[in-house]
Amino acid sequence: MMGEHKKEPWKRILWIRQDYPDNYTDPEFIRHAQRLRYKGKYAWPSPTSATPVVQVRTDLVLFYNKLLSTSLVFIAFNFIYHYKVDPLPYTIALTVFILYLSWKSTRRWVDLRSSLVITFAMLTLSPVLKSLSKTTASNSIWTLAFWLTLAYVGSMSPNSASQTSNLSTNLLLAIVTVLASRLNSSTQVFCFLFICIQLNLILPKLVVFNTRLYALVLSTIVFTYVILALGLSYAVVAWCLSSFYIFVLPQWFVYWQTNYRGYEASLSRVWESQRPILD
Amino acid sequence: MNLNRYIFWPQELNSRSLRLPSEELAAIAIALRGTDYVVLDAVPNQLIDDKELESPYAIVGKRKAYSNQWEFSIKQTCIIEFRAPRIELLQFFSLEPISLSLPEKEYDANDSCKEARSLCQIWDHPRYQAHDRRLRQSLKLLNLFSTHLAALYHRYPHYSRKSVKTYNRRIALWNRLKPVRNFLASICFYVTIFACHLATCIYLILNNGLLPLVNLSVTARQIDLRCQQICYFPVQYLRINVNVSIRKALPRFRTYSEASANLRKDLPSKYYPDYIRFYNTLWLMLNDVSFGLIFGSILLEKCDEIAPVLHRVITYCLYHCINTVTLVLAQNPVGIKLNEELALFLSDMFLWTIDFSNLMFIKPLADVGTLKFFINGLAKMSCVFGGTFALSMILDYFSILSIHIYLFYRISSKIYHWQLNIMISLFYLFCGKKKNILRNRVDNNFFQLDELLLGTLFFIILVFLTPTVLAFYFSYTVLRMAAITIEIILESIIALLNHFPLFALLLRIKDPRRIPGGISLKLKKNEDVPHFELKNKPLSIYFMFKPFVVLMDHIRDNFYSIKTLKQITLGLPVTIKRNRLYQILYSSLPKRPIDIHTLYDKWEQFTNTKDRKLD
Repeated sequence: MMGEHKKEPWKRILWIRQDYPDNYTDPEFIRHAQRLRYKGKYAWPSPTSATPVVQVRTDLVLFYNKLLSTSLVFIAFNFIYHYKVDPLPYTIALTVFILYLSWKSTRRWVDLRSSLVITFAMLTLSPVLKSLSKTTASNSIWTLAFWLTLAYVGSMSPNSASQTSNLSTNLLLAIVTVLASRLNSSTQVFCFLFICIQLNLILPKLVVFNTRLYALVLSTIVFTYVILALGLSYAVVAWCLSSFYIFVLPQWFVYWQTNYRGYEASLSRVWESQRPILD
Repeated sequence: MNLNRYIFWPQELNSRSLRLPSEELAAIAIALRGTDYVVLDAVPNQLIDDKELESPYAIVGKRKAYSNQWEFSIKQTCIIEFRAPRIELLQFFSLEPISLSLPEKEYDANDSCKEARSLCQIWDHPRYQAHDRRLRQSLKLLNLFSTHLAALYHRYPHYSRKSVKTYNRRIALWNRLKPVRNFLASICFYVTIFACHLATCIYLILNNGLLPLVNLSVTARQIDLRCQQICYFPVQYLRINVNVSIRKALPRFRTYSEASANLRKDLPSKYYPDYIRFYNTLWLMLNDVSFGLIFGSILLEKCDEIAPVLHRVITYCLYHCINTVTLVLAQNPVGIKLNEELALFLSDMFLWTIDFSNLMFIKPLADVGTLKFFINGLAKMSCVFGGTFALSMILDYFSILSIHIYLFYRISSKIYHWQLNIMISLFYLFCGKKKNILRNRVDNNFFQLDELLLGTLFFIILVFLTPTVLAFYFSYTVLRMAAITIEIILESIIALLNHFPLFALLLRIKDPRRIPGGISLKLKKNEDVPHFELKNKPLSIYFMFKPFVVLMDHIRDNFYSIKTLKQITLGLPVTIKRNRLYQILYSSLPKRPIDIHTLYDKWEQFTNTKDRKLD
């Protein structure tokens, strides 16, 4: 080999033939590992290397909001199923409110065609949905709804940047459909479907809220309902849990991150396994 | 240098040499190009003039008077004793088992090992079998033993102990009867041609392109089979007789090359399978008629007893039973909560169909009077045309009666299949994916909210309706499989009656040497010269029933296998494809019946050779 021929720097890509042996280890990697080992577990905690508390809290609040929105589905269902509230005026009011909000935020009307198609499809299908699992016992329906809700909560996307995935939308609809079979009339089924879709899918999509304000409003509604329906003791327990989640958990997480996370995790953050890009 | 290591020795010579103990004997053998020595005869030594024997013939051994020991001129040799095949009794040796089906229609029993089969093809290719070429040639010579012996006597008449017979008187008589014979022959010929023509017409009607009845009805298939057999009979007959007459008329070999060239053609194994097939078909037809006579007489005798029982059984199985099943399905069977509305709708629809088919088919066809009439007709038919005919009519009758089961099965399988397909594509939507047909894979896709909502609604509705559809589909599939099983049992009986290798089996019992399936060599004694005995292995029973084994495999593959289960799970139809199934059993018939003109040409050829022989 000629001396003046300079080697190309090594790249972490398998699909090009490089002038390096197969068991080649990059010096950068070794240096990084050594630095981490040197710092080790006993290094002085540096708050700068950890994620800021505010960001963690924002992420957690986003999830909290979604959880509360999901519980709105059950609250609405309970109002219609248990308290026999006529849902029609509320649905109309909510629709008008949402239309107003969307007009205010985007300064244009929502796509009329698709919303009409959806509305009429739901109107047509609501008798079918009502009779779909009529013969199934109520207990099975509750169980099914419980597992579907768990799956829905699990499927929610963790970061706020990405759109909610199709799977979670579908799971939400599945919950609503399963619950709809317990209602008495097809009008109720239609209204219930409509309310749930508006609250959970359209509202977060159209309107960008201040997360904290939204969380406050939602918590007020949910806690009021819990106090009214289940009593103060349950409400206190729920309130303790949620305040622990919002105020204590982020701090705790940051503390753990600065003090207890080993160097393997941060190494794998830099030298993470490459995800294949398929197209 | 002498490569002729083996000497084939006819066993008849042993007894003859014992009968002539006082004479010195010399064994005369023949060896053609590429064959070993085959001893033709043992001739007293004084008859032979040494200069006389020419190239293909040679003296390979001598025996002193009053001795039992032969001394062979070739050193280090093996004696292979054989019993000379009597060609007029159609005995012959063959390295391979003879084929009972037409060569172009050979089917393999195990389709599973395709690679192994291609390897076997290479293995079987003559090019890779140089090691047994000599044996092959020698066996061909052995098969023509009597011809070669006759040729020897023709050339050296003084070797022969028997006087040459003269046929003059018989031929004269034969010639005087010629006009009568010709007249009879032409009558037979025209009757045959007429029958063939009729059979061809029926064949064409049954196999017309628009509505091939053959695929619909078993009776039509049976008629079609008989027609094809009738069309093929003259061809087979001519093929057998032309070969026989050519062989008989053949001039004795006078030169070495003539005899050598003759090794290649005119072997019994060429036309012999035709002979077996021809008589097998004839026997089976007679057998069938005799079965039919028994069956028909029993039916006629017991007609009055059978009809009411049959009426009750048919009405119970095909009407009441199915009615009950359909009714139960509508009312949450075995505690499974089905969708009420859909179950009610489906069950009502099927109940209407049952009532319709009951009114249209079951009631009029399964009436006691109609049944009596049918049984009577059946009995008469089976007496005239044979038992298979009666069985196929029963089968057709059954398939008409069970047509509603087929309809239910098709309707429910269609519904199920659609539902499954829609559910699969909606499930992709449920997961936010979409099938990419261009690349044949599943890709991520971003759906609009309205698409998503509608798709999900439909998906959930379909998921909740699945158990209902599934319950109907599976109960009707079970019924359909039961009906198919009955049909298959009956069809197997028909196939067995139509294609049983009866003649081959009887031949095997009567004279195993006439149905060779290979050869075996057995050490007889090992003195100074080892003696082997060449024996014919008869064709194995498995080989004779090979088409049936293949057929059973096909049936199992089509109806009772994992593949079928998969098909049923996917909602694909399980149907009897008769034309494909029974191709195997048509293996002894050509694809299309022979043309009349070809037949006529063959006949001309046949009569010409016959005349030439007599002249």
